[in-house]
Amino acid sequence: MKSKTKLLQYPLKNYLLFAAVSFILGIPTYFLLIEYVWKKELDEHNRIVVDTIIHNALLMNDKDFESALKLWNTLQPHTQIQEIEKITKEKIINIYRKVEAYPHKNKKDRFQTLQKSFQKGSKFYSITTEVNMEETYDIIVILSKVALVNLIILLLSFTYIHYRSSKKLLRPFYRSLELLDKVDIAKNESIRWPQTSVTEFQKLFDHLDNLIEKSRSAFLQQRKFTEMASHELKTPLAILRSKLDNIVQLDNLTPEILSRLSETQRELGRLIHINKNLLILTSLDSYKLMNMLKVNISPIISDLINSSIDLILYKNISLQHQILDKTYVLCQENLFLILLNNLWTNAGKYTPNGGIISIKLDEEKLQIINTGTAPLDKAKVFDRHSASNTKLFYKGLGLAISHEIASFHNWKLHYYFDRLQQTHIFSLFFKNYTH
Amino acid sequence: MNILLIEDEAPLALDIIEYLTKQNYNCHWVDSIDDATDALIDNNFSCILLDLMLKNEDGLEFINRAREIQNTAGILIISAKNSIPDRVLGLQLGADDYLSKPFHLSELVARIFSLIRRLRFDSCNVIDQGPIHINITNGTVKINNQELSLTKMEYSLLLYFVSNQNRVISKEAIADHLSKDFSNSYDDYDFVYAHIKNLRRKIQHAGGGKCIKTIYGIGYKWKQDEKQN
Repeated sequence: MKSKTKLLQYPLKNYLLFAAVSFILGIPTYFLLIEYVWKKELDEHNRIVVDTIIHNALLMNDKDFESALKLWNTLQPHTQIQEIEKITKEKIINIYRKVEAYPHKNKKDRFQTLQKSFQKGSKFYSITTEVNMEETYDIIVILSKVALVNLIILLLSFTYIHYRSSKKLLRPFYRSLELLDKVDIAKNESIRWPQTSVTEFQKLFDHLDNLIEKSRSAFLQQRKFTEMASHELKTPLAILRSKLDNIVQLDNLTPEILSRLSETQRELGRLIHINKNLLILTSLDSYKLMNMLKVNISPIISDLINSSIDLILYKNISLQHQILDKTYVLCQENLFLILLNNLWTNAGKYTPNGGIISIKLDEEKLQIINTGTAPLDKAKVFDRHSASNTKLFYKGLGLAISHEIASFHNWKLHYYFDRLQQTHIFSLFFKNYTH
Repeated sequence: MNILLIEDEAPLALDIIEYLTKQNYNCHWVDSIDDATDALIDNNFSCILLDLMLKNEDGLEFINRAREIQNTAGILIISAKNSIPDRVLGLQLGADDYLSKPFHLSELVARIFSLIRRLRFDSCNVIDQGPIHINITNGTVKINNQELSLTKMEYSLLLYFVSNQNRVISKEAIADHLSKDFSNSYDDYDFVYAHIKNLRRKIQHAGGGKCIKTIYGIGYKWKQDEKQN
């Protein structure tokens, strides 16, 4: 699954990325710009120097110029005047060379040079002037350092300003998230949204109010319907059962009538059981709108074992259990109880005489293991639609309900048969399970 | 003992009354909260059986009113509502027990029996059935002054029988009583036979006689062994 980013960090992440790219692209851009401007200024400087020298040289008489030339070339290393054969084109050169005054210095220096020729009398001269400039590497290092310092200052100030202003701006939003977490659709409580001057937030709160109200109304209608259906179905069953209970008290009932009454009671019991399970299934949807709670299921499981142990021990079943203390899961407690009861009942009912039932609970899963002789049909074990006759439908519904409840909680309930140990293994994984 | 039944389903109410009357309870039947309130003002009841889903009325509203008028009566909710939140709410409001519909009449009588005795802190918490002496407060059973060792389930079964004495109790009702909330999918009755066999053996062995009679094809009946009187 793609990792989620917090709202406050989301724009900051993009800004940081943009800043890093700007930083990387900015250094060569700055370098080229500075290099261009610097060279242009140095060329202009060299040209002024050369043009001034040429101007002054042309004003001197040839003899004085000739005698000064040697001395000039010796004392002015950065401006050399040499006699040449013909006028040449002006040249601008950028070179690295060693400085004669520092013979032991390994590093070469960089010079921007202008070479221009002129005519004085019948002779042609070339004048070369140069000026030292910073080496490319040094410029880049300095530029990088300056850019980095700027970037850090910029980012720190930006992050601070961003967090401060966004936090203030988004405060109502975060508060509304906290409030939404606590909404219990089953309770008729209105939400006190935080005060906000932002139009969009106010609009959001109005929409949420509307949505919650609609959900609550749907939930209450559904619950009312389930209650009514439950009442309408259970009342005739209750009347039927009480009538049978009274009939069996009558005197002079023949063994045949008693036997038929017993069969009727038994079938009525099945009908009541199916009805009860169907009502659980239809009411599952209404639970979706209710809050899940963090429930310590360890004592629930221990209580279940203690209170029902007599129901299985008559079969000489030995019970093994490893229940981890304080195991908290996020669930609807009453649905978990139904799921647990169904699994437990299933194990108790189908473990043969002298068999073993084992219950293990840790942070990740609950396992109910019972000995058996043949595997169940794995494809149909949790399928409530697979049963083809009433008897199977009746028997299989408990596990199907457990499976539905597990899915409702985003848990995974699965089954397999260990052929070596001859055991049925039902495992309930509490964490969101992706297969 | 007076019992107030608040139930708007007449056929069910009449069946309950028929069964309770034969168990020597004196029943009053009303089908609305207003009538129930008036009945409470006029009579003293040991137990109130309250249906929650009355026509256009919520039975829960009655609990507070009942507690104000007559605090000593035990309130047993009998309702088609069966979810845990409904039960918890009912008990929080002051009801003493909760029985969901459809129930066996023998289970209802056992609950009334247990509730009435739980709310009394006098000698009524002792039941004598010939040589069998049951102390509900301590949860002990003695036969001919010898303490009988019973499992939790056998003790529960004994009280169930004693509260429904001389009544035929079906295997199915006993199975439901023993398995309680652990789903009634115990559709074979082996565990019922096993527990009854053990209880019967222990009572007879201690000299309590043959109190648990088998009613062929249907179930059992508790009848005090006349030879023991």
